[in-house]
Amino acid sequence: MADQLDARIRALVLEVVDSAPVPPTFEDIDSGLEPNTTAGSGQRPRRRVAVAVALAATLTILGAVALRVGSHDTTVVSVAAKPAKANDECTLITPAEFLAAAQGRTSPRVGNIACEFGPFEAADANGGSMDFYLTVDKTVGPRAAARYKDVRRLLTQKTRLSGLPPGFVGVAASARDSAVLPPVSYVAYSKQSEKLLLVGAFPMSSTALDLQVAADPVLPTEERARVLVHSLRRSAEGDSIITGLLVLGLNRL
Amino acid sequence: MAISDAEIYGKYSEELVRFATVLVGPDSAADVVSASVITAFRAPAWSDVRNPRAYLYRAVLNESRMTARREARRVRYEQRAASRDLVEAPPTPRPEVLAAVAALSPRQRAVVYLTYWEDLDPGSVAALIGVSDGAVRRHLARARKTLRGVLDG
Repeated sequence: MADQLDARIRALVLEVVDSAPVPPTFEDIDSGLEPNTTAGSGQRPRRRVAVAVALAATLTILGAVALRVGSHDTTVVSVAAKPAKANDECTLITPAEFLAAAQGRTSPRVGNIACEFGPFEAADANGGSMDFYLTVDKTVGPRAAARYKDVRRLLTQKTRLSGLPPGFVGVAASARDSAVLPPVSYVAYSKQSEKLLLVGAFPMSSTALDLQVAADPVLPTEERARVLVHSLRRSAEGDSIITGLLVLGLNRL
Repeated sequence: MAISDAEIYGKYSEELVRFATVLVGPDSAADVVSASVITAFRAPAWSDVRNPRAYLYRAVLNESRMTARREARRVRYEQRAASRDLVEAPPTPRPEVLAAVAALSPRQRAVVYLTYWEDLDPGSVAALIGVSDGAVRRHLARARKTLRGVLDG
């Protein structure tokens, strides 16, 4: 009986281990290390600088909060806020580049965090269009992870404050309760504005292809939203190639 | 002759990624390994480490536990935000194997992986991840009990 359980556990572990990704290269790791870290010198000065920067940032935030409280301004941050402008380093990719990258034909260019909140219009094969914000990031390691988390945190804060925008109906919300699967935050649609809203961080392998379907103006908006949900769930089951983040229609909120 | 960080990483990267995959799943495994290795290489004590393999395994386990906590917190926030306005999605059919892994704590996952994949005895597992022999046996017993329930259920 115990042997049988051991065999089943062994098979289970084998199955999970089989899904292990390729390790990041040492160059990826090395790029995350600051200069002179291996020498052991300069650790304390760097820490002091980091502490000073953190302290300055905290004081600035506290000052801003104090000013805000003092002015009795009750406005909450809303997703209706104007998106941040992309800076000079920001490289928004074109729809063709996105699809090529998502299909594995090319490597996507890497933008920065401002890019994710810049407007980006994708035209589909039928001449329809939709506005969305997109980043495709194939980098690995803490830099990518930190950006990914920052964006997710920002989205969570924004959506938590304002909920769904008027006129939007939710199709799916995240029900994930483990770190094993990537999250699907939510998908919503609006019949009035014909917009899809997709908030979260997703694997992109099949999403890119289904984006074309989702953008098809022949389909009812609700149906397009459901196509995306199915696509995302399929992606979440393990065929992800590129991890990215996609927000559809955020500029309409 | 001292072995370089690149050589150490080259030697252990694949097994560390496998280990992280069992702990946090394939999507976060590479990031967890990257973060752990960078933390380890940056640590002032790194140059004095006698057993880099054990050190890196512990770093991956610690990072995985932090990742799991952050992820759980994020999911809670998102569910709270989404539940106000959204129709709850029907339960997504999950692969049995992922559900079984999800039922274990990170330490239990670590012990199961090292026992069943690396074929280590409890003493070796304990030495590798820096816990007592008894703790390994407890984690393994609880993991087996949980897995039996999930796999039979």
